[in-house]
Amino acid sequence: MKVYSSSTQKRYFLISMLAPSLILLAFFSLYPFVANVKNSLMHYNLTEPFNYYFVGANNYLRLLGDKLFWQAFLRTLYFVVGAVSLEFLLGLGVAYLLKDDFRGRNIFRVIYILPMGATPIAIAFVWKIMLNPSLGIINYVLSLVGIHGLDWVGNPTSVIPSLILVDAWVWTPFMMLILLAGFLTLAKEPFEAAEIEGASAFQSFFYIALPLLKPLILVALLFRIIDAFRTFDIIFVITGGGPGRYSETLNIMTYLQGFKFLHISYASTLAVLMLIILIVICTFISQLQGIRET
Amino acid sequence: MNNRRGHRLVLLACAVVLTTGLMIPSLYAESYLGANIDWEQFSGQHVRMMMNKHWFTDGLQPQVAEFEKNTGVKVVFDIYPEEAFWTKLKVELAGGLPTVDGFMVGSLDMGSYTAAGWLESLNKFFENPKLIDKGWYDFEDLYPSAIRGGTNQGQLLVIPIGTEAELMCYRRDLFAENGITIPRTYEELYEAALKLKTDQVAGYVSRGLRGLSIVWEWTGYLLSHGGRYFDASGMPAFNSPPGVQASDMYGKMLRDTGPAGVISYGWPEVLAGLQQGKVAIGIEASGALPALEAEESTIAGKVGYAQIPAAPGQKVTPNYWFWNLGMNPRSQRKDATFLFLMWATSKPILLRIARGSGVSAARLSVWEDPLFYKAQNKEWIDASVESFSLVEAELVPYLNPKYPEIADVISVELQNIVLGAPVKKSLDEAAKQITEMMSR
Repeated sequence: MKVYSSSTQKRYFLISMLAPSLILLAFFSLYPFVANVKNSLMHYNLTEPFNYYFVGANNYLRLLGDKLFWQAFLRTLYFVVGAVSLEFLLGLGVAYLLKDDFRGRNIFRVIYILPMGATPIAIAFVWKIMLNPSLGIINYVLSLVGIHGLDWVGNPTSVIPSLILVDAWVWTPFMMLILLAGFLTLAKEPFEAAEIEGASAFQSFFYIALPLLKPLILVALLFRIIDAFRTFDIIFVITGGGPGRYSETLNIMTYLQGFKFLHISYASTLAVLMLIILIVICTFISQLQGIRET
Repeated sequence: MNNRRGHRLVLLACAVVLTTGLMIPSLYAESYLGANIDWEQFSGQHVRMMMNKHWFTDGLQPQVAEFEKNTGVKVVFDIYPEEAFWTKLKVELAGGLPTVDGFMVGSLDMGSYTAAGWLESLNKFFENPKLIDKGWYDFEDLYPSAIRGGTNQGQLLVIPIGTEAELMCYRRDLFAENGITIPRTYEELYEAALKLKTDQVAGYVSRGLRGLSIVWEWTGYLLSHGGRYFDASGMPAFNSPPGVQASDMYGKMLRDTGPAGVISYGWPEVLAGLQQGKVAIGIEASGALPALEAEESTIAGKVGYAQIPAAPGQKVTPNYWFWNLGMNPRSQRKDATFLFLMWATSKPILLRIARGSGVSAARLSVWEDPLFYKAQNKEWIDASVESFSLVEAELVPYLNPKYPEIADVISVELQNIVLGAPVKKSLDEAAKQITEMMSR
């Protein structure tokens, strides 16, 4: 029997452990990504299967000059900033309340996590009905106190805020969970010291807890920004991008271009640009963290 | 009288057969088995059909077992709700795989599917005496306009199953109470709807949803105002004065007299609103309207049916829709698939489905069938037949491969108009985008 040196053994071990996931990644991430980039450089429309040719950066130039793209981009930013800030503030507040020992704490923790357990698409359908101006419970409850409710998702100004509300309902628990874990790992000593020194709860929250949690907060924000940026199910089910284009975010636009109009190359271009935008945003946020650490 | 006695005899005969425990194929089954072909020639094969969740599918499905028994061909139905159906089918066809043998094709996609080469030409099957008994099938009985719409350069690409056109329905009781007569112009329609509007009941409803939905019913407004999608040179013309008038009216109707949230109404919501008695007047596809006479409808028996209005001096020109069956060119069981398509569109089967569920079948004989007439609302049948005759098929650019995208661009601006945006400016914007799109 041949005896391998320990470093060779270690290498074989690493390779055999990594191989399955690398092969899967190659098939399901790398290949689609490369094919997508390739498609974005072609003229490729499914209704013209015989017209498949290289166009270079044409699709990118067309997209950058497409005002619908920029409108969708701003709309997406609006949605992401609104949803993630709301989720962060609510999540932080709830996590702060749930970190201490009190009777029934565990029950509340479970209740707050529940929305995450449901399928977003099912939640979207439920919200769609709740937001409906004639059938929905929201306007009914409002009418009980004499308020004439809006057509929430049928109105250009209220559609994105309504979608933000739904997204926050679904994803605040995620934010809360991460921040709660953070609060629970914080050492007690600095807080006790602060208390002895006479710091108020307000002060110990803002000057001790938050700075200590900063790395975790940035990670949580990063996760949610990436996710919110590519939100599809909630918007697709509740508004489909409407009314008009008032809730047509980049992801909905990509879907429409690809699957409704069959412009595969244009949809691929959109997807690549979305990825680039996300990379820029994420790099910016990780930079923030880096600056603080040095 | 004679007819009734005939029915009794049939009933009696059936009773005798049942009580003696004899198994005979039903009367209608006999009439298609009488076709001069070998129904069992593809026994053992199977056919996968992708279908829209539609009343035609609901009507056909219970009959399929009989086809399977008589032919030995197994038929698998994959049924999806409309939006999912469009997407799923496109993905399967674009994949170029033989997984789907046959499928439903709506008017909307005729142009794009044809351009993409996703529809097998059916000519050679219709010429094959082993596959079809032409005398029995009676091709000329299929709706001629549907056949024209399904033919490209002499090749028949689909077989029509359903024919529909825009129709107006109204609450006869509410009209009588308020002394309103059937509106013939859009101004009259607007006034009637305003008058009938109360806190509980909306005056008027038609689709407001983005995409084909809102555009489908707006098209009847456009054409009946004398407007056109495109001019003779192929440039957008829906932003011309008749188009502006029509779109302004469509926006006013939904905004001032429609139910709250109408901007998100597709046909299911329109039908539900009407069925629940929450709307006084509606414009919908004729084929959808039997739902108003169904058991779950609170307004059954109180509904009148009439043609959509026209602007003064203009001709009533409703929009239309054909549902068809097509074949995947990649299918590896084309003959068996054709056998099924041919059977499903044959006279006995379409008659049976139509009588049972009021499906607007695309066969002339169905609309003259006394039993169909007896089973369904007569006023609806007469109005439907008249509306089909008013259709001007070539005025709707279904055969344009870019129609789905054209319709979407227009729908976005129409929604803006419903929400109160300036009409001319919005239509100009749509025209600009469509001109750009067509130059690509």
